[in-house]
Parts: sequence; C-alpha cells; structure tokens
Amino acid sequence: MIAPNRNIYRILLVLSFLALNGGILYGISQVFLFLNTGADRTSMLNLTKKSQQVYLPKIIWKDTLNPGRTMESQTLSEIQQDYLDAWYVKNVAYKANDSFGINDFYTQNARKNLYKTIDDNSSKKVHIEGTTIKHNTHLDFYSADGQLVVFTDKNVKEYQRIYKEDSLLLEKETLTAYKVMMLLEDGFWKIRHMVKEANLLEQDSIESNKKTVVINGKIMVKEEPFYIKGINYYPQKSPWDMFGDNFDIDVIAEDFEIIKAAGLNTIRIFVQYEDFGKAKVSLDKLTKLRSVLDLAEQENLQVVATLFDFYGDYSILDWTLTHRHVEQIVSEFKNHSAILAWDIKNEPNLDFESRGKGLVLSWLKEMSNQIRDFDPNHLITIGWSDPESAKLLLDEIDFVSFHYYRDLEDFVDVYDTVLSKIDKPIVLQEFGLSSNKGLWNPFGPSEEDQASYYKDFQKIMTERTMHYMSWTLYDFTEVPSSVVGKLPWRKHKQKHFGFIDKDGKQKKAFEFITDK
Amino acid sequence: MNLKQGIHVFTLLFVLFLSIGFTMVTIDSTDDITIVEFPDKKTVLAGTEITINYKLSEQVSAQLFCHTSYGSTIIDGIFKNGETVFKFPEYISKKKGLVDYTLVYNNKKLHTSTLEILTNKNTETHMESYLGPPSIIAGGMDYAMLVVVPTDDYDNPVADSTEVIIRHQFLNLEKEDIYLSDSFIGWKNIFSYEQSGRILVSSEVQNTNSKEYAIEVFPAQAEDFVIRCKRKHEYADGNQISSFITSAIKDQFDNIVVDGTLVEFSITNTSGMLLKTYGTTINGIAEGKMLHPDKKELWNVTAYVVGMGMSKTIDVAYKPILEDYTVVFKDDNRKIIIGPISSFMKQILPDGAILKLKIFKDDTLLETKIKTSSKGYVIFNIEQSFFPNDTYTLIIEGLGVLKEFNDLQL
Repeated sequence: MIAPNRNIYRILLVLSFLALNGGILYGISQVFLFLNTGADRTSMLNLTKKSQQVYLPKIIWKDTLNPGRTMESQTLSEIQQDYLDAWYVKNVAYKANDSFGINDFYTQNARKNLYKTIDDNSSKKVHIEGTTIKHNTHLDFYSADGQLVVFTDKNVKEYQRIYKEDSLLLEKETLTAYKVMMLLEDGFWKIRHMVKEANLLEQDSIESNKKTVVINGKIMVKEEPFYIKGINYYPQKSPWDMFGDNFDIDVIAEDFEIIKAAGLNTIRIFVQYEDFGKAKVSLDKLTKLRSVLDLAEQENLQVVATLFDFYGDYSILDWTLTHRHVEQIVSEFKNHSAILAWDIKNEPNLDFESRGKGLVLSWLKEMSNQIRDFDPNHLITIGWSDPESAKLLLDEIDFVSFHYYRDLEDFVDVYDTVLSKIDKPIVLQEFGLSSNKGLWNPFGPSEEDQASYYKDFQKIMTERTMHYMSWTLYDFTEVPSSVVGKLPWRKHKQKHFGFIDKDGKQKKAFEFITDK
Repeated sequence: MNLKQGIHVFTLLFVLFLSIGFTMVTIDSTDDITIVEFPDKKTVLAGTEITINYKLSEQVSAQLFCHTSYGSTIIDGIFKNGETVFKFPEYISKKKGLVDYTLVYNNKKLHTSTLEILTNKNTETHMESYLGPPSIIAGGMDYAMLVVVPTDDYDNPVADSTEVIIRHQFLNLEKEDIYLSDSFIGWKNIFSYEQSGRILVSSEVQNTNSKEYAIEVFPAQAEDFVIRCKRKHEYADGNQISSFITSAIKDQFDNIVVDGTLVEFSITNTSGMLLKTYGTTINGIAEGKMLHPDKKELWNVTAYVVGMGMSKTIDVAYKPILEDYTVVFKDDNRKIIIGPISSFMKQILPDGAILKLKIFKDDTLLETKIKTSSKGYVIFNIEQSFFPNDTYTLIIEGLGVLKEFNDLQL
C-alpha cells in the first residue's frame, strides 16, 4: 500500500514542479510582452498623419463665375474642405459646448459669435446635435490676390436635435441659405462673416425611369404586376459574408439556377456597411455586387438589396458618412434592371432601445431621401423585425417589409391586423423554421416539422396572394458570432433554417419552397 | 407559508397595484394650448432689444427655439401682462441675418416664423480693406485689387448697395470712384500707369475713412541697351581688370529698371571660348569685371538681362606686352631660367604670369610643368630621378610666345 502512495506523491511533486515552472515562464513572457507594447516605433519619425474624412455632406458648386478672379480648381477644393470643416467643428462644438477647433476655421471676430452661443447654451444646459446634409454653393466673389472669397450656400439642409438637460426638446430640419465670406489666414480658409439669408427653394428635378413602381397597392415591374416569391440568400460557404474573400461567382450562379428552378422570382441579399468600405466604397466590392446583379438579371431574378448590414451607429455626426456610402452604391446601380428595391436596413427596430427610437427613425427617414435622390428608379423598403413596427415611416417607403418568426397559428391574426391599417404592398420579408432538433435542442422542430410549417404557410399565403421571402436557402456550418452572439445553442439554431442541408441535399421542406 | 399569510400578501399586492394604477392617470394638456396672438415683428435693426411676444390660451412655460446665422439656442419665456415674452440674448439681437424661431411647448412645435435682423446704419461704420497684390508692374496691364468690407458697430456687413468711395493718387493724379456694395463688399481694380512709382489708395463708407494703403508699381521688363568697356590700358598683361558698363537699362516706358536687376556679360575670345561675368544694376547701370588676358586677344562682349533685353556686341582688343623672352639652360640643360621678362614699358613683369614647360620624348608628352613668374623670372628644374639622361624635346609656352627645343641632351 505504501509504494503506490509514494508514486502518487512523486507524480504530484513532478507535476507541481512542471506547473510552477510553466507559471514562471508564462509570467516572464507576459512581462516581456508588456515591455514590448506601447508607442509604435515609427512614431519617432513624426510622419504625416493621414487625415480621416469625418464629415462628408454633399456639396455642389453650382457656379464659380465671379467678377473678381477665375477660380482655380485646387483653391476651390481647399475652400470647400475648410468650409465643411468649419461646419464640422461648429457641430462638434455645439454638441459638447466646447470651443475646441473653432480657432482654426473662424477668424478672430467671427469666432466670438460662436463662443457666446456656446457659453449661453452651456449655462442653460442646452446642447444641440446637428449636421448639414446638403450644400449648394454659388461663388459670388474671389479676390485678385486669392485671399478672400464670398459665396452663397443655398438650400443648406440642416438636421438638428436640441436637448435641454439631456432630454430631447425638439428635432428640426431646416433649409437655409447663408452668405459666407472666408479669408485665407495661416494657410486655412477661415470664416469671417456668415449671414443667414432668405432661401429661395430650387428643386432639382429627378426623373424616374419607372422600371419599378407601386400603383394602387400593387408592385409593378416593367408595367406588369409582380408578386414576390423570394428567398433570403447567402452562399452556403460564406453566410453573412457574401462579398468577402470566399466570393465565388460560379457557386452563386449554380445557386441562382436552383432558386430559379424552384419557381422563385426574387432574392434578398445583404450589403455590409463596413465590409463595403464605409464612406469610401471599395471598387472591388462594387464589381462583385455588379456581377451578382448581372447574374440575377440573366436568371430573370429580381433582387432586394439590403443596405447597412451590421451598421449601428446612427449618431448625427456619422450621418453624412453613411450618405456617401449609399450614394456610391445606389447611384452605381440606379439603372440596373435586376434590382427591385433597396431595403434600407435589416431590422433597424432592434436598435430602438440602445440608440433611441427617434434617432433611428430620423436616420432612416433621411436615408430614404438620400436613396431617392440618387436612385429614383427603384423601390424603397425597410425590413422591420416584427409586424408591429410595420406602421412606421409609411410615407418614406414604397412597400412594407416585416419578418415573422413567431407561432404560425398567430400569423393570420397578426397579418390581417397589420394589413387592415396599411394601404401599401406588404412583403413578408423573412420567415422560416429551424430544423434544429439535436444535442442543443432535443425537443426542437425536426425536418418534418419544418416541411409542414412551410406547407401550412404556403397555404395561408396563397389564399392572400402574399409577397413572401423565406429564410433561407442553405443550412450553414459556420455562423459568425456577430449575428446571434456566441452562445452555441443560438448559433446552432441559425445553422438549420435552410431548405438544403449542409451536404447539399434538399430537405423535406424544399417541396414547399413555393406554392406550386 | 400558511393560507392566512398568503391572503395577506395578496391583499397587499392588490392594494399596491390599485394605487399605482390610479396615480398613473395624469392629464396631458399640451393639445389645449393655443396661440391667441402671434408676434408681428418682421424686421429689426441690429443692436436693439428684440422680444417675441405670444399670447397663449394658458400661462404655460413655453420655450422658443432660435436658429440664427452662427448657431441655435433655446430661450425660456417669461410672463408679462398676460403675454409670454421671449427676449433674445444680445449675441443674437446684435447679429445681422434671418432668425427662424419656433415656439415649443411640451416637445411640440406650436408655431414657426422668421425675423430679419438688419445692419444698423446708425452706428459707427468700421472697415476692413484687403489690397493685393502689394506690388504690380508699370504699363497699365497689371493691377491690384482693393476690397473694402464695411461693417456696422456690431461687425455686421453693410446692406447691399451701400456707397463705397475708393480714391487713389499717383503722381499728379487723384481719382475718386463710387461703387455700390454687393455681397458684403465694395471693390475696385486699380491698374498701373506707364510710370513706375507708388499708388496711394484709400476708401470711405458712410463718412468713415480708411487708412492709407500703397501699391508699389515696379518698372516693366528691360528693353535693349548698350555697353562700353573701361580699362586702365589695352595690354594683355593678365593683371589689370577691364570693366564692362551698361547704359541705364530702361523698360518700354522709360522707367529705369529695378535696382538689383541681374545683368550677364558674355565674352567670346579669339579661340571661341566663352567667359562670363555678372553685375547687378544700380540706377539702371550694371558693371561686370574681368581680368585682362595674358596674350593678344580680341573679345566680343554682349550683355543680357536674361529673357528680357540684351546689348549690342562690342569688340575689345588686347595688345601683347612682349614679343619674346630669353631662355637660358644650365646644369646640363636640367635648369631652365626664363627671363628677365619685361612688360610693355620694359618694366619687370608683375609677379604671377603663367608659363608652361612641356616635356616630350619621341612625340609623347611626359609632363607639363606650370609656374608663375616671380620678380621677372621663371625657373624650371628637370630632376634626374624622373627624367634619366637622354634626349628630350622641350616646349615653353606663355604670354603668347611659344618656344620649341628639339632633341635636347639632358
């Protein structure tokens, strides 16, 4: 009995020795690691910092003819940059009631006015979050020595949220004209005078090619009524990352054939805000998106493109960046006949709680204006996550989209109540059932349950000639944590919503992918 | 927990719920507030006290949101004679421009209107003037621009069509022009005259006068000119200095070019080589200097103000100072004494004249020795260690004389 005991002691001794040494080594390595962090060594070189674009409202120089001196394009772009920066520092200053940066963009006399406003607002506990969205500048005068410029900025679209003691007092959108004098001082164009003037509205006319329209509650495509029988689409290997490194147009082409053969006529795809390059959309991503759209056109599939996926900032000073993002995407494809609609954002109502309902709705409203300005040819919708939100922003959209993952039994009730209030086409943009019966969910729905769910749903939808888009074509093997979080049972559920399983075999539900 | 306790707890909760339920009921009276009298102000002079008066159906604490040229703010109303009065803070009432205001009560916009604040002409006028560029070229093509930005005492730009008087003086001329301001400014292009000099500029708006500004008018581009040569003697002694002097260089309007204008003197000698010297002008005259050649020469000299004007070419000839000099060989021809070298008046040549000795063997140049004269003599030594005893050909060159000694035994 003694010998094994001794062996156990030996083993324990050796193991604890190893563990102690391991611990010491780990400790030392951590100290080394810590000593090696800190400022990047290249910072010694004081290299020029790359300036980041933080404020990008649309600015258009309507004319630069003036009696003084011919405007050079280089100078014009410097004036434009400094003028917008002046607006930016002003917006930031009024948001925080802090005068940081004002000196650089307002001359000594002009900055006094801002300081006084800041002091007053600060003492009244008022702060204002604002941004300008559009500027239309007309040059009035540029002096011969190139040091002084006067211009009129018309139809300045300004959006402001005014807070008193941190609670929102009101929200205001204004269209204003300003006459501005700027002087070149210390290499900066600084504002010397700024006078608000009467604004004479000038409307830019926007012509639609009427490829997609909504008439009498019906979606029309090329003058024919169109009923959406669609599916939310991600390639099986790259869910939530369709345009990433694994982008393979051949795989997508095969999928589109499957979708077409199944009798569907529409797909919904997702354009991610960060992945596409935020305010500076990458050409590579646009090319990929174009090839997908071209393919859809070949297969005669309509596309609902959901923008701003994984975007969640909404802060007012970020607005103009999102506007430039959408401008580059939407105007690029404004004549593409594969597109049925731009879906501004997927389930924005989920951000109401964290970002504020008012802020999110204002952002969506302005975004719908932006999209319509840049692409009058395609429809606009918002993919609400629940039927209750569907009544929001009805004036901004062409058709209503909502998602439904609740009990099938309640659907008819909910749908009929939503429908009765809304006179725009209604699209059930996401619905589905995960056949995730297994380790993580032993009592969950099986493939048979999923099939009968779709069967019943098709019946309801046929009776009501509903527009629908199911979730989704494939079962996935990987689901990024950014979608449903890190919890394995949640991920597991997301992996089994497909009509086709991970081996490429059609599941039982596939039979009911359409109503045929 | 027995049954009795359970009933107690239930009753307690029930009463709690009821009380919450009843306290939640409040009357929201926002919709009842109506505006009985609207403010009637449309335009106000800057600097005057500005109040916006509303008569509301009830005395409630409403707020006024103001959107102005430089920013926005919220003004709290006060009650006065049954009206709700909003007094603009000074920094708003002193600044020109439209003020959009919105009456807000309980986060609702009740009324929106606009007030225009005008420049106050009754206050003292101030002026900022911007003149540029500060210097221009004579001849009437170039101009400087004067931009006058008049403001009232509160730093508001004056209204359009305010008279701006711009005066300028040049030599005997004094001129006054009246302009109407537009886009905050009055401005004038002041063109140069044919003469160079200084134009003085000033301006006046609403009886306020600016200070004096000056535009420097510089002469235009140099025209062609002539040069002459000034020298102590005409001998090529390699010692004295010749000066080349321009006439007064002028522009097409007879203005003498600016002091410091660079003139390049370009000299071509007999063998086609180019020599250059430079001078800058004072009162239009530039002087370039060059050491005399050390042999007979004919120089062609032309001067340029590069890219603008040039002189006529002049020829300058130099006479040789001597025809020949004596060469004496000593120490088995290894020591060569040249001299005495005498100059044009038989005086001993000043030190520093250059002579060359070239040593050839069978038509191959072995070495060139260069020495300068000292006290009228140049002495060359040909060392035995470098040149063993043999026959060599020696050539002596300098001061325009060339002497050849063939197959000399060393």
